[in-house]
Amino acid sequence: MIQLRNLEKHIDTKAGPLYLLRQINLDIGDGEFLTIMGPSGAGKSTLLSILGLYDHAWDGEFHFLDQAVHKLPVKQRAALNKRHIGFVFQQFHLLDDLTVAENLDIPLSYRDIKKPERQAIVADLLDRFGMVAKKDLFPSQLSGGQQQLVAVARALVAKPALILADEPTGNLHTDQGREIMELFKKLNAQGTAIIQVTHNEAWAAYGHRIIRLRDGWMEK
Amino acid sequence: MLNDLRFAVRQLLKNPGFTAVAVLVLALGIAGNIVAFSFYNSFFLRPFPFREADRLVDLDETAPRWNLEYTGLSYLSFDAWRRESRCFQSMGAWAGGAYNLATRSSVERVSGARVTHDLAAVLGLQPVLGRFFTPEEDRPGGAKVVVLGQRLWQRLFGGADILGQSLRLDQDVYTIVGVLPKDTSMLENTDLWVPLAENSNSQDNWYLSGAGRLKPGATLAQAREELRRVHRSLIDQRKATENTFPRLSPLSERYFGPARLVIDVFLSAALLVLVIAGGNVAALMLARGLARSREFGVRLALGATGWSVARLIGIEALLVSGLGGVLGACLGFWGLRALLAALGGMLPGWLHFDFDWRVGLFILLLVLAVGCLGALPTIRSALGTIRPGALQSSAQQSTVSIPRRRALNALVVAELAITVVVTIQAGLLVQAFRWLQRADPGYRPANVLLYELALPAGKYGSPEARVAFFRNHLEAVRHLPGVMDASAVSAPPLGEHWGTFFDIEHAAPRRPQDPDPVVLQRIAFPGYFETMGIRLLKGRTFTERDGLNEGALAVVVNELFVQQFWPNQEALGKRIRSRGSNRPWMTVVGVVHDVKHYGMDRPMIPGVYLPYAQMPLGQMSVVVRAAGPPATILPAVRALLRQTDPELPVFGVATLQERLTRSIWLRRLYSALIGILAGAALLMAMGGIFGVFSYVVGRRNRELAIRLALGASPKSVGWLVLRQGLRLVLTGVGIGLALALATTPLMRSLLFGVSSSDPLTFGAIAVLLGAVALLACWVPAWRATRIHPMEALRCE
Ligand SMILES: Nc1ncnc2c1ncn2[C@@H]1O[C@H](COP(=O)(O)OP(=O)(O)O)[C@@H](O)[C@H]1O
Ligand SMILES: [Mg+2]
Repeated sequence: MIQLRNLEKHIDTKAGPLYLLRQINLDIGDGEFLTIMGPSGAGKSTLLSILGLYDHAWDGEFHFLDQAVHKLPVKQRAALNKRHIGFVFQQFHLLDDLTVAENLDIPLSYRDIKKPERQAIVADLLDRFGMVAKKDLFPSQLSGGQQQLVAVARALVAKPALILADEPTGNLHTDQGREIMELFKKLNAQGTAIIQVTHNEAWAAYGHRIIRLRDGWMEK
Repeated sequence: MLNDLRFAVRQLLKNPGFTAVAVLVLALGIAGNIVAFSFYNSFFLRPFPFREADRLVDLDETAPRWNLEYTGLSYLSFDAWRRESRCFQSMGAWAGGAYNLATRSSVERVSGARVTHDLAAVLGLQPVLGRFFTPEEDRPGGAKVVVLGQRLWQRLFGGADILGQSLRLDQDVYTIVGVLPKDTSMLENTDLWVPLAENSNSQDNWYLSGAGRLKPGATLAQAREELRRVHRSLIDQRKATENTFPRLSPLSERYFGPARLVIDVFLSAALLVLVIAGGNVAALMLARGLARSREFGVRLALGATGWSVARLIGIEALLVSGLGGVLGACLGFWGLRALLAALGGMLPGWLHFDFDWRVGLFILLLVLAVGCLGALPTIRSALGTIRPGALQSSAQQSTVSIPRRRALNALVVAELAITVVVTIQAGLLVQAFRWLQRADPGYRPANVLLYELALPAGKYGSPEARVAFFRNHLEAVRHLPGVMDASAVSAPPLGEHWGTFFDIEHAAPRRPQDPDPVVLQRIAFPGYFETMGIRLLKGRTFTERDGLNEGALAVVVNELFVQQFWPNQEALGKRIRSRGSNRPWMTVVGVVHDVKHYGMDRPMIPGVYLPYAQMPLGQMSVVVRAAGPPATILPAVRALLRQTDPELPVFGVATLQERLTRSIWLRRLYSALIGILAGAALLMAMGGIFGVFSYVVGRRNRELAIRLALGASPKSVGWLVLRQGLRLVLTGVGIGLALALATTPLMRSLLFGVSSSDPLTFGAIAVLLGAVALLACWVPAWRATRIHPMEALRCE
């Protein structure tokens, strides 16, 4: 699904280039569940936003679903992202002024899908996540675990092939974290590839494989 | 308290940009207000310079039947009123005029007034030297005495004791008996005064201005009632005509009433601008208060009372408004000085504009009001953070909470609406001014020079002498190089009013309730219409033979005269005569286009022109049409006159264009002033909208980034923001248009040819303001399209 060859990212500072990622070589297969670990500031989030096609300022080769991303113009990268990727944030990032159902609808509203179809998809998702009763509540009326559940559902709503999750359980209690991880496991079993960042060894074990980053380098 | 102040100063210094913008914007608004209020104060709030001015009443007569609001006062009425009235302590009257004053070296024209002996007592004036007139001097045949104004006294005699010396005015010798002080030189700018010495039987001549001083305790209503009775009995005794009635008003209203609407419009525009400035302060404070809501929350959580937080915010707002007040006062007084310098001699000399306690109080109130208004929304929203849990959640909020956003939105909408109102007011005034400028005055003012000559009665006693003088003078002027044509008239456009009544031959007898409009009478030389470029509509203009003998009595009338007296009839060949016993009939030989005699913004009345030979007056205005700019003609004219009569002063020199420009000059000034206010309002509102909107959008950054991360295109995010702005702009402009539509009819009397709901002005300003406001929203929207979602969402 993904091949990274010599991927590097730096930012320019007054003192010269500062490398955030160095010589990343990584292959991720279809339907894989990968865990990325590493200390804070190692470059995990940076790597994830490159994989998610949000960040375009990097060097090296990046193949995604047989497309050479490094050769694609920005617009087409955004289109790839839209079609195949769902993202889960550590801080949930739900919109406070929108209800649960409306939050779920946001990604669909940007994807040329007709209103009735969107409503059907959202209803189906609410059902699958057992949140039908909460669909008209606002995020502030939910617990942290429930909010993250909504965020995961929102990442899934456009049926992505790959879910990227940046410390999705970082702000959750253990029980809530386990619920999210079980959910990932189920989704992965249904064929969705998942790349998660976590500091928790137990949650890391849910993945098929663990890679570790340190100061921008991948540990062998 | 001192701590709070220190903290507030530190806060302001921490954000020098915010502080500077808020203070500067406020200073502009306050400066405009100071200028406007100073005028208001000087015209309407400060007492007249006369002693106990509130007891002074303007005396005049009105004649609805003649279509005249003010006829002027006749001496007969005045004398009877003065004799019989019990409400008045004293009454005085005067008539303006001008004299040829012979000095050692030359002859000059000075303005003088003929006054009744009691006028000084009415106005409470004390001569600085000598005395005012006695009743004996104010009788027909009384001694020829004169009182000088301080200015003339200083200029001619250097302030020496000149009582008892003599002065030659128009060939007569007057004895100087007194000097009146400068600033209170009555109600008009006058150099000297002589007794009116009018015959108390003089009737049918309404040429006086009058003023009375009420007895202590007497009211204007009583005085009106009393004089109506007195006048009624005059009519019953068949001494006065039944067409005029007493017209009494407070003196200040008579003199400044017409200025009131202009100043009111100006002041209200200035206040609206100030509201915008205050709104800006409020918006900026509010926006910053939101950024500081954590600080307020922490203070409240640490046990601060709501009052102490409110005080903190209040002090900061007052500090901003106080700084704005100081800077605004400097700007304002500087602006006022510049404005007064530009106004020059247009204002009565005794009006004062220096700082007084009213202006001080006004500024203080402005500063307090703006400070409180500016602080209020922020205090409200800060106290809202007392809610439990507010502290924890504030960092997690992705957008500005709904009630606070509403407060900001309301400010933006209100600012925009007010700006629309002020701009439309200004737009209408500018349109009205342009309309006046484009309107046809009825003559061609370019390249026409005008000067006045007054032949003294002694040397030019006979009509023949006067006819001969002017005929020769005009002939000589016509032969000067560069002169195309020359003629003379008793009253050029924008000149004096000389109203008379005419009888129409074969007209049905007038019933008592029929209108009897007064007619403007002018005396003109042949060539007058040609020189002025006044269009002849029918018949012919004057020739040298008109008016030479009884058989050739001619008259030229204007269009309104024809409309009034011979609607749908042929006017040529009809005959009219001046009302009175057996005046000769005059034949209408021509009909000419109306000229705007009383001003471009005033209606014209029926008018006639008589040939000079029929009524050879001593004083005439000479009009000269030159081939080019006419100023060069004047030296040649003076040289001519030095040869014919060196004692004859040339005065009232001006080009027609100058007179026309001067006549609409005040209007140009206040249109421009309100235009400047509107421009300031526009700038301030745009600044406010931009600031508030940038802030609101900035607060939406996280939300917009989330949307981008979830697949929104930059374009759609930009649109999202712009739509929010569009909604505000449309609401604001809509409310503004409605408000303007409701309020502009109040200023209708300033607009003449322009409708108070002029669609062009309304439309253009709506589009302009909408576009500018959208531009102010466009920048934040454009910025929103450039958000990098992952950077915006990185957790710190
Ligand atoms: N746009 C940026 N500008 C400056 N520094 C950045 C930027 N993005 C990331 N960094 C820095 O790069 C390092 C790696 O960041 P990040 O990928 O967020 O680490 P992790 O997610 O592993 O904790 C950090 O030191 C971070 O401060
Ligand atoms: Mg991270």
